[in-house]
Formats: sequence, C-alpha cells, structure tokens
Amino acid sequence: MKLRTAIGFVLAAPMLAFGQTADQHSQPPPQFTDYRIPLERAALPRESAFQYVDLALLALMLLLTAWIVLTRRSRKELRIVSIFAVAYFGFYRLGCVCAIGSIQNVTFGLTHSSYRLPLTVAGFFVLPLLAALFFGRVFCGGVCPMGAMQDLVLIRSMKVPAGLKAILETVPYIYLGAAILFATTGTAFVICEYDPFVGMFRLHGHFWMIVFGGVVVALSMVIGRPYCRFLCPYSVLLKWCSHFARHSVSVTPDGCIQCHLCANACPFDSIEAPQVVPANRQQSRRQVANMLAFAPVLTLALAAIGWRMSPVVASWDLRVHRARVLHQAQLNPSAPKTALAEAWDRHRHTAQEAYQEAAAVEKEFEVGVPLLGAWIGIVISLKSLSYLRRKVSTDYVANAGSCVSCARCYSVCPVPFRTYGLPSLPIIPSSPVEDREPVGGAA
Amino acid sequence: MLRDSVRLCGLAGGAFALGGLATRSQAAETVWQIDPEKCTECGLCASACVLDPTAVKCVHAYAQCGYCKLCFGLFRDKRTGNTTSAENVRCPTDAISRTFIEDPYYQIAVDENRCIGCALCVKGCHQFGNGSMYLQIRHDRCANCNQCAIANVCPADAVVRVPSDKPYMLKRPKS
Repeated sequence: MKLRTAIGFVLAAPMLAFGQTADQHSQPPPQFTDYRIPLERAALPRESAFQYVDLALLALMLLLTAWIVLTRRSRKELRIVSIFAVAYFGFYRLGCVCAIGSIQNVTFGLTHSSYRLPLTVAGFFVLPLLAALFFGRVFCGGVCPMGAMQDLVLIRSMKVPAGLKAILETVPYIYLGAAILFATTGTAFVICEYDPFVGMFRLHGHFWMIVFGGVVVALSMVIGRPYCRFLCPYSVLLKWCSHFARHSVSVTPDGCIQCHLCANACPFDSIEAPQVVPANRQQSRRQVANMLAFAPVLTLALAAIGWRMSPVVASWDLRVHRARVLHQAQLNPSAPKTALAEAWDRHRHTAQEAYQEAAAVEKEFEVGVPLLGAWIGIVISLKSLSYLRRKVSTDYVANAGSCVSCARCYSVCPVPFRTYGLPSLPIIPSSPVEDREPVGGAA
Repeated sequence: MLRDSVRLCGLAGGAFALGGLATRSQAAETVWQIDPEKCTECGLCASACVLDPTAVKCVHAYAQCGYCKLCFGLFRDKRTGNTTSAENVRCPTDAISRTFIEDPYYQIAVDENRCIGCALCVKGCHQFGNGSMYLQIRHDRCANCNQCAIANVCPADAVVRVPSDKPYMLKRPKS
C-alpha cells in the first residue's frame, strides 16, 4: 500500500529529441564518465483511504450533533463538537472538501462527462441533506466549520429588521442559482472563489478574500451567523430537507407558557411567536391574488433582463474574455500583447479557434442567464407569498427551515423538565420511543 | 404521511445519487497538475495558489539537463536593474544550487522548501537552456481544491485535471 509520504521514482531514459516548441536543446546532454543521472522526485497525493476517514467523521459528527441537540439538549457539548469541526474540517483539512462547495462539483459532474465526482465530494453533498431529512439542520449546528466559526465568535445578536431580513433571505437562492450556472458552463466555482472563511483556515488568500472574511467574522459577533442566513447557498437545500425532518428541535416538550424567553434567546430569529388568524381575511386574499398575478410578469421580465445581460455575464468566462482580447489584438496589431494572447499564440492556436470556443460558451450563457433571471423571479414571488401566508399556532416554535440547531433556546425555557436539576442525565422528550432511537445509533 | 414518504424518497434518492454520481463516469478521479507543454512561465503560480508558499514547485528533469556550467536558472552576478537578459531570471530565493561533477559539467538541484514557484528559472532554462526546469504541482502540499485557484487565472489553460493515479506530467524524452 502506498503511503502519503512515499516517493515515486521514475526511470531516467536516454536523451532523445524532445518537442519542437520551446525545448530545443541548446546544450547537448553530456557524456559522463563516472556519473549516474539522478531521478526526479514525485510525491504522491493524499492517500485515497483518507477520504473514507473524512466521510466517516462527517457521518459520525452528524449523528453526534443530532444526539446532543435532540436528546442531550446541551449547548455546552455542542460547543465542543463545533470547536472540533473548526479544527479538523477547517484548519486541518484547510476547509476543503466542504458541503457548500460540493454543489458545484455535483453540477459540474452532471454536465461534464469527463469529470468524475469524487466519492468524498458526493458524500459531503448527500450526507448533510439526509441528516436534515431526519434530524433537521444538525450539519449547520455542529459540523459545518463555517457555521461553527460564526457561532463561536457570536457575542450578542442584533435583530435584523423584518423588511431587510426578508430581502436578505432571498440572496442564498440567487447565489445558488448563480453557482449552478457558472459550474454548468465551467466558468468558475464562485462559491469557493468568494468563500470568506477558506482564507482564514489556510492563513493565506488574496486580499479581498481576507477582507471579506474579516468583515463576515466581525459581523458574526453582533449578527448571528450572517453567512449562513444571508449567503450560504447550501442552506437552501438544507431548508427544503429539514421541513420534512422526522425529529426537529422542540423548544419545550412540556407545554409552552408563552413567555417569549426562547425567542429572545435565539440569535437567528428562528423562533416564531404564536399567530392567530388575521382579522381581515379578504384583504389578505386580495394580496395573494395580486401576488399570483404579478409573479409570471416578474419572472418573464427578469428572464428578459437575463437574456439582454447574457453577453455581459459571459465576458466573465476566461474563454469568452480571451476571444475578445484576441479580437482587439487583431483590430489593433500595434498594441502590446497581453499574457492571454501571448499564451494562445505560443501554442500555435489561431484566433479563429478562440472565437469558436467562445461562441459555444456564449450560447450556453444565452440559455443559462435567462433561466437564472426566471429563477430569481420565482424565488421573489414564492418568498413574498410565504410572507403573506398566515400560519395558526398557539406556541412558540422553532421554524424547521431556519433553525440551525444551536441548542441555545433549551436552557432559557423556564418550564420545568422532568430532569430539571439533573443536567447530566439525558432528558426524555415527550415522545420517548421515537427520540431514543438515534441515541443507540450514535453511541 | 406526506413527510414520511418525502423522507423515504429522499433516502432512496440520496443513496441512488451517491452511488450513481460516484460511478457514473468512466473517467478516473482527478487531481490538478500543470501541463509543462502549455506553461508560459507567467509567474502567477507563485501568487495565485491558496497556499503560502504555493504548492507549485520547480522540477528539474535531470535526463534533459545540459549540465551547463552557466545555469540560467541559477545565474547570479552583481549587476542590478531589471532587464530581460539572463541576470533577471536568477532564483530569488537561492533555491537552486549546483555541484561540480566533472569539467565542465555541474549538477543542478532545486531545494523545494525554498522554491516559491515563481518560474524565473523555468523561463531562463527555456530561453537559454534545454528546458529541463519546469513547474509541477506538488501533491504532498496541494490541498486539491474543488477548483484550483491557479487554474482560474492561468492565461495558458495549463492547469488541468489529471487522473489521480498519474498525478504528474513529467517531461519525458520522446522515444
């Protein structure tokens, strides 16, 4: 079995004529009397067996977080898990592979048959979603190093005004759509390129990455998890899954006394106050009808804008950019050559080839950007409709979609539990048979 | 009831996706590597990598080396000023050393811990020598990012995905 540090050696073969391009031999290889030509060193990649370690750790930590959040109901223990997540998945594994970025690999794998999705990446994409189907967003609560990082630095959360929050909450959907578009065209993996934390985990990154990371961390001290709530594209998928969760966070299993303490304690505004049926049902019906009529108009308008914008968006692609640079160089031969044009010429490619390549990419963008526009329209419409929808509830409940399982609300609830005063014992929730199952699974 | 069926579908779909995606393509798993035939020694490898120092290092193909007495990757003299001639392509970190073998041949070695992947020696060796010096991504350092940050900026599209069981694109004399 190969080890990571193993060194592969390659046989040195006698010199023969090499490629024609840049490697003419100006010096003939010498004839030595008593000297053996040494071999090159070629260190091997990280042993692939380690990817199973990563996957196993991910699965184990998901189960452990689910157990701590749903059965132990302990913020203290969850904090230990988060610190481990930041240390291992963040600083040791340098923030890669991560579930958020895996969206792009999955998209790229589906649209490019030459790329094989690595098993680890597939696992990092699927396992947190499966966990969300059963236990809610436990991935966010304790396993995701980015979420953990923001959660650990949080001092006191300010409440984001409802209107601003509603606008900011659509950003993850738009970001998800953009990430899928750019991964499909093969332009860039934008989530990774503009990740605020990866520069921190690697203690190195380009200037704006570090600035962005610093801003997000600074904001996290006063606003709960700004990246998770207002940017993270993976949170969209997790939200969809956690709405169907079998077990999710229940603030008090013993009956709510409507004291509002849990809603105050939640730094992420995820606990919804009791709601009654609105008095003016006619008005709200009219609002819904207006919104339903407005939605197709908005969607089509944004798709049209997308269609107009597609050449601009396409110019972010290196291949399209290169074709335009080469075209400029053809129009203006006296101008100094850019590195792009020089590299293209050096490989004896013609400008025509670059144009063809760019035309194919531009065609993809002509379809993709209007679709992205339509997606944004649909998101805005559905989000607005969801705010108009009035749910009837009598208790304070954690919103299944936006609750990140941080376990902060448990300890502030004044309703005495059966195990009150004995925090070392696992607390038995109201449906003991169902909830005890994951205990055995995780232990 | 709805929730249970959604969960069941999700479970089946997830398992299917996990298995299917991982085995769908015939292509092998990949790592990033620099194609030395495409590289134009622009120097971005030194700064664009997410690691510091970069995972890109100079590799010396001994079998292709001319064992020059005056190595243009190594060359140091007392002249100053940025001109395009040989003194501008010397190694800025003293990573390259030479040892005497027999007159007039010197063996060149690259100290990887000092190399910053700036490609100045590669440029010098290509312009004046045999092109035995070239850049490769070192897999004991590379984090194998989702999308290589150097690939994003490489003007020559030289950073490519290669099968992980053949992780290097070493210069070989063509037979």
